Amino acid sequence: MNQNGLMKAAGFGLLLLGVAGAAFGAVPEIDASSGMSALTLLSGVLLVIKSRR
Amino acid sequence: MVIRQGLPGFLSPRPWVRLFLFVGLVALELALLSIRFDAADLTAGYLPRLVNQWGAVSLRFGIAAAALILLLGRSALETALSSQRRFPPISIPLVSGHALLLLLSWFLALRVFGHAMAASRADWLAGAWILTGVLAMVCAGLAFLPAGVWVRLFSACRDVLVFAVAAALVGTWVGGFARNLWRPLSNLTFSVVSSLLKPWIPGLLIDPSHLTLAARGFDIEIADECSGLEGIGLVLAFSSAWLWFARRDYRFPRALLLLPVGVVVIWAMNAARIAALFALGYAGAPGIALGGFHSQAGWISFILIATACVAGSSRVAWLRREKPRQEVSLDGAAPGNAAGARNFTAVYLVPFLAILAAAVVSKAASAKFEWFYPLRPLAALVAFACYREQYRQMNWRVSWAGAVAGVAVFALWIGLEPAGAHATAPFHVPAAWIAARVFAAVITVPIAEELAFRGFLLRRLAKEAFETVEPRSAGLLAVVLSSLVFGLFHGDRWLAGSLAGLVYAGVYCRRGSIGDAALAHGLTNALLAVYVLSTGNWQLW
Repeated sequence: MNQNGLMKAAGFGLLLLGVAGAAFGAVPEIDASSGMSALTLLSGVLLVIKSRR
Repeated sequence: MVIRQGLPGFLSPRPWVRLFLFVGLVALELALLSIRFDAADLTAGYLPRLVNQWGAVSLRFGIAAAALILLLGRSALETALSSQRRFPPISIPLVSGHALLLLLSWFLALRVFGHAMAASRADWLAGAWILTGVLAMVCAGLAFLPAGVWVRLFSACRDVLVFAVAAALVGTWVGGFARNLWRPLSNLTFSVVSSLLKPWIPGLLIDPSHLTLAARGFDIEIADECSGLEGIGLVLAFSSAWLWFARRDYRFPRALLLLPVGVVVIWAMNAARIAALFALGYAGAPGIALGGFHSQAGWISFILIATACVAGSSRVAWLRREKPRQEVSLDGAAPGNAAGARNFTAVYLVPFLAILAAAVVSKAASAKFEWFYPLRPLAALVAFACYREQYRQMNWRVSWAGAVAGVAVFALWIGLEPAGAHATAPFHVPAAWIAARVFAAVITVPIAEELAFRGFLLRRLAKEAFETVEPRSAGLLAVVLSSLVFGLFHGDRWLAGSLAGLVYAGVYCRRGSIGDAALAHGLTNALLAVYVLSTGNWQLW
């Protein structure tokens, strides 16, 4: 992965971590233990969709 | 770049790898700190109370600012980093200083959190804890990059830095202010849920003053936190990030319509989720309603909306810019292009994603015990069948090294379990369920995870066209990062998971065989299954 891609990935990762972290802390409905699986599932689906183009 | 004689090459990585390692290290340490300690425990002393009040907000602010700097200041960072041709190796004394200060900071944190003490003593201890933590970070920063480079980085990113800090401040303030909207939004949600249920539930008791609904002994209260506001925040953050990420593909300003549409849909789905939860409880499944459904339905809504936002908007010509036409076959490949003959990402990821999706659905339909677990191996088998032709062309050769690695990881896994950790089966579990669980652990999960973490992620971290990467040449950083992600996927057992990931990655890189890695992983899981079933210790399942 090049520098640009790595920084972009790190930035998006932090962004999602921040938003999801805030949500986990505030709302019991958004189950933290399932968060990792849910965000991975979403990221994977996006990667597959993106690579279809 | 300078590699001093006598020093290993990994101490002189490229400058941007150093920056990434520093950011990753700080993020990991802060994550561990926030997992282990709860700021709510800090009640004595002025400084501890300040941390109690502002700690979480400051962390959120820091994460938002770092994300914005990395996203918006990439080119400035790149220029600043490339302005210096020679870098000294990573400083071992400073790394050691970082580790020592971190240990000291951790020890002080153990004293500060959760111990009743006089206010003045609490202030001193908290001050020392914060100071050692800051010094540890400074040590780490200087270990990876010299002070002059940091000055140049700050100078090059000055404008982005100011914007990022301002945006993060506004974002943090809006996040706090938005809580004032909880109550009015909860009232609105309550009205919609009541209207949805009223025609179908005879004798529904509606109490708008307490926002409660009751019928046939089942009752729920729509608390402030159920207003749907956090879901709105998640969708707004996701769709904004996506629009920015894919900004060249969309027509603006019309593409911004996705934001309000996403907000309305996620809020409506939250109301529908609460109505469905009540209906489930009313229909005689209160355990499922308040258990798995309660915790999973929110995520299901978010994933569906985010996917629909990306996949749906890409099909609406009104929103997207015209691109040069390229014929694409069903599997995403341009005809006649041998290199792009398959959607390789799908080949490697879909079985793992199928298992994750099945797990979300299975958990949502369960109370405490996951009765629908067999859905997971079933979903994996369907995915394997879809790409069977591609899998036939992969390297599935196995060797003794894979078997030895599998046994070694089993020993390591058991060794890292806390002493005395024990959990028994909740009741007499049917043999068919156990058979499905073992089948998944030994066959479908190892193959799907090795395809995803080693076959895809490890090589994708090395190069975008990951299918062209020889595993052996992927590099140490890709091996370590993919193993860390694999470890994080194992929750509390992240350390054992990361070490296991390193071993499986080593096996995979040795001969480039996904079969070897899957054998090692499958053997570990098989031995764990034998251990669980023979000792009755379900803690490991």
